[in-house]
Amino acid sequence: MSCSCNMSAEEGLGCPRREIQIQMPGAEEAKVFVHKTCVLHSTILAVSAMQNAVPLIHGPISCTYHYKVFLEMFLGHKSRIVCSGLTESDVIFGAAEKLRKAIIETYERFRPELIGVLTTCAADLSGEDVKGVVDEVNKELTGCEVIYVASGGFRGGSAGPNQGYGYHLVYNALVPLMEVPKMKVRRSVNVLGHVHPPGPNQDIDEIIRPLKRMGVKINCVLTSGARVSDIRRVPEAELNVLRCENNARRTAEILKEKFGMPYTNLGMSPVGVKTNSEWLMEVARALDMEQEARRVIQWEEDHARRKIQPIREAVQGKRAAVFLSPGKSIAVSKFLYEDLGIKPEVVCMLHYNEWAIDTMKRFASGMDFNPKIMVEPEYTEVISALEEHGIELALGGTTEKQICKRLGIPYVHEMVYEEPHQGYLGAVKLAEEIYEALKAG
Amino acid sequence: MTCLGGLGVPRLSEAMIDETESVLQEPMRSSATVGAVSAIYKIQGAFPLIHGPVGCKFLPEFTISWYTDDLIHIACTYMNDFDIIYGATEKLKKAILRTYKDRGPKLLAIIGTDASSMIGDNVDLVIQETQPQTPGMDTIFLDTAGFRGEYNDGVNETMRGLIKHLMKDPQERISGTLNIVGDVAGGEDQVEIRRLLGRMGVGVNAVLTADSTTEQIKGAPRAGANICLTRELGQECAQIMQERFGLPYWAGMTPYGLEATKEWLAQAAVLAGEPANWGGVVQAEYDQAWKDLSEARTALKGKRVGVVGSSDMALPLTRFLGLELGMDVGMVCFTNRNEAAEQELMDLVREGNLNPEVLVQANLFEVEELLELTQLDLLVGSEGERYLAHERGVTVVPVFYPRMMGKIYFQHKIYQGDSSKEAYLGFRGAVNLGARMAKEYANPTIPLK
Repeated sequence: MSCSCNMSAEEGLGCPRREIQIQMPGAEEAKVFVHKTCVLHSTILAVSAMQNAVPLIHGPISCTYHYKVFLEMFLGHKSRIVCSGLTESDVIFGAAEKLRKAIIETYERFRPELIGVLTTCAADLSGEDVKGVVDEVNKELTGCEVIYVASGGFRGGSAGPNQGYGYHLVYNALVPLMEVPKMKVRRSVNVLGHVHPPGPNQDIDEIIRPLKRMGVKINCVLTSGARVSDIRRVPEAELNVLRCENNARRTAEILKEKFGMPYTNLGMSPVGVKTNSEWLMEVARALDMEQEARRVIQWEEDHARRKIQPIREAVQGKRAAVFLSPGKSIAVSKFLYEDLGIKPEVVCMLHYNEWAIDTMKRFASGMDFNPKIMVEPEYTEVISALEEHGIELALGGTTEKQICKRLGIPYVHEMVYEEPHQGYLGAVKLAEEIYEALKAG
Repeated sequence: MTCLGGLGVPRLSEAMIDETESVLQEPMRSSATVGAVSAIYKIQGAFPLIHGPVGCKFLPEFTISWYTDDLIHIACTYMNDFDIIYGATEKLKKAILRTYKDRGPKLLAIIGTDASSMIGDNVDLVIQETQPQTPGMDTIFLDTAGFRGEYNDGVNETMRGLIKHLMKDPQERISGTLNIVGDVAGGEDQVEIRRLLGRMGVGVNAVLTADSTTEQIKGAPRAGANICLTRELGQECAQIMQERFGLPYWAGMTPYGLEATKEWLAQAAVLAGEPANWGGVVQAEYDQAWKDLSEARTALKGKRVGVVGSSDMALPLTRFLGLELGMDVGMVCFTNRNEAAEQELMDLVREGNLNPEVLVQANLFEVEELLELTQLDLLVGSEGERYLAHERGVTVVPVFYPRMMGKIYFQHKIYQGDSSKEAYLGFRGAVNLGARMAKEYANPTIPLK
């Protein structure tokens, strides 16, 4: 059977069983109140997540200060972001020498293994030869790699400016550091698409825990906690595993082309019991480890479901709204519906991703109701949808939290949390938080 | 960075950095765009529209929402690479009309960014063309590209825009009233300042800009005089209003602490024609606050404290902490350059027999070095210094932006921030701040290891 979607029926959730309407961005009327952010956001995040790496913003102080404050508030993690402090005169007369000095000074002051030179709108538009400066300085420095990523906030490829594009740009800038492997490490994987800095109780720890139990070796997580030496060894792994489809699929394609590395892609983040098992089975199939996976999955599912079942009984049938990035919005909706019996009646993807939209259609077509699905909605549309659907619970980020606070809707922050929300134990924790939020009213 | 006194800032021994040639910055100052947004969104009936890419809207919207624990909205033209090449005036026109239709503001401020400034869109022409379709709405353009300046420049550009486009020669003057110039935060701080002026018999005509209506701002030239909350955020505007409308003004230190508040109120009284018994009212308030601070004074006396902030705010706080609370001021960092304030600080240090390390136009990595050297107990500053201070066992008391009113997410744990939103300006503010510091010292919001 032919299909207009991008995915074969064997992949992901299969073809849509019925037509699902999705409200796309870019309607006739100008959109002025959409809540998303720019490429620089994600390039800073991806570089900051690496060990001993410093993002150097080639631009005015403005972008630097706010991203630093934002990242510290958002990640609960100290961040170090420096800048060249472009002024009006630099924009007119050029600032190549200033950039060179700033790179050298970053190296001298912090002795990093990697400096990510990230340009802003002002530097990109002034036409500076940033690549030339970076190439020259790279010859002078020892023990430090300097990468350059054009991160002007107006960039964004075909999907328009959004943060998802920046992760891809950083991964691509890291590919030239990767070396052709002398040998492959059997049953080893790279996890692509996790950019939170390492720390206690992180999602990534819970995501890779069952993989390790299966006997899979984790070669590198891109970019969370990676050192330059880890990046160099990325091609030694047998397989690339996408944690977040949205920000790593294009890189996985590049690695497949350049190093012949296969990859698995569930099309969403591993949130929820069922999705985690599907995510693990994909990896297991690719590594020929299905037997090991079944054993681990059985144990993990039993353990998680025992804790989730009483919560399911208390919360099933509730109507929920989800406001998240494309891959995560699908995964959280799926978790609510399949694991908890909650109806995700309003699903908002905070930025555009064609692949994720197809995946969402497949998932939604299998549900017993028609959810309202919106891509890059404005807050007025969000408020209308929340009221229209009688939403009783919402999950998302900070802005939506404030909207729900005003409407008196119980809320679970799905971007800032103390304990993992992903992986099997993350599913239990997320279920408990949902229960507590509903109980508190 | 410039080091003004004390032991000096240690150099990195292994580094080859020539400090005079240093270009690297880890800034402690926010952007002109955020300055403009802050100044506009607190005006009742005004609305900001960012003419630029999405990040320029996201950052102010997100950070202001988070630190005030409130919902704010900003409109944006979402400039993309196509707009950069072909221009975005048509998009801007649509965004103006859409914002007018949806929000119906009395004042729309189009806030320029690096991108819009560099591609040279003719924003003034767009404003002119949309005016017939937006009756009842004033539209102004604020050129606040990030490379043109920082937060204070954005606030000042906003106030210049308001004076130029909204204010007219007054038909009458309301003697005995003042405008407060340079308050972009409002809230409980402004309530306290208004309370004190009210008790003295001084009326407030308008505030530039926080919590005023657009009509009040238009009527600002009717006041008897202007008093600036800080020099950095008010003096330039007050000077323009003096030249254009003949309004006298005073600009000095921000009223943090007892002495600075007393001085500020005295200047207000003079500008307002010295209402009857103003001096008695101020002295009574001063005496009460001095008494109310006794517990904090006992708890904090001799404790080693640092201050990080813009000069007109950090300077009066230095006096408050060192001379009014009896603390040992170990470091003072101005995040900007202000030669008058630097001289005043040197005078204060000498006369008050204080001995702090002093940095001006400080970078965060320099503050970090100084924190290592000075061994403080407490740091009065903002959330921006939280990590550096905490790593060194120093409790932070956030007074300046960003001061978190909602939840603080720190080292992967969530804590409740300063939800009281209480005033720190004026006499009651000084008492609040003293109590807050004593509480944080005894029982920090985020426990020290």
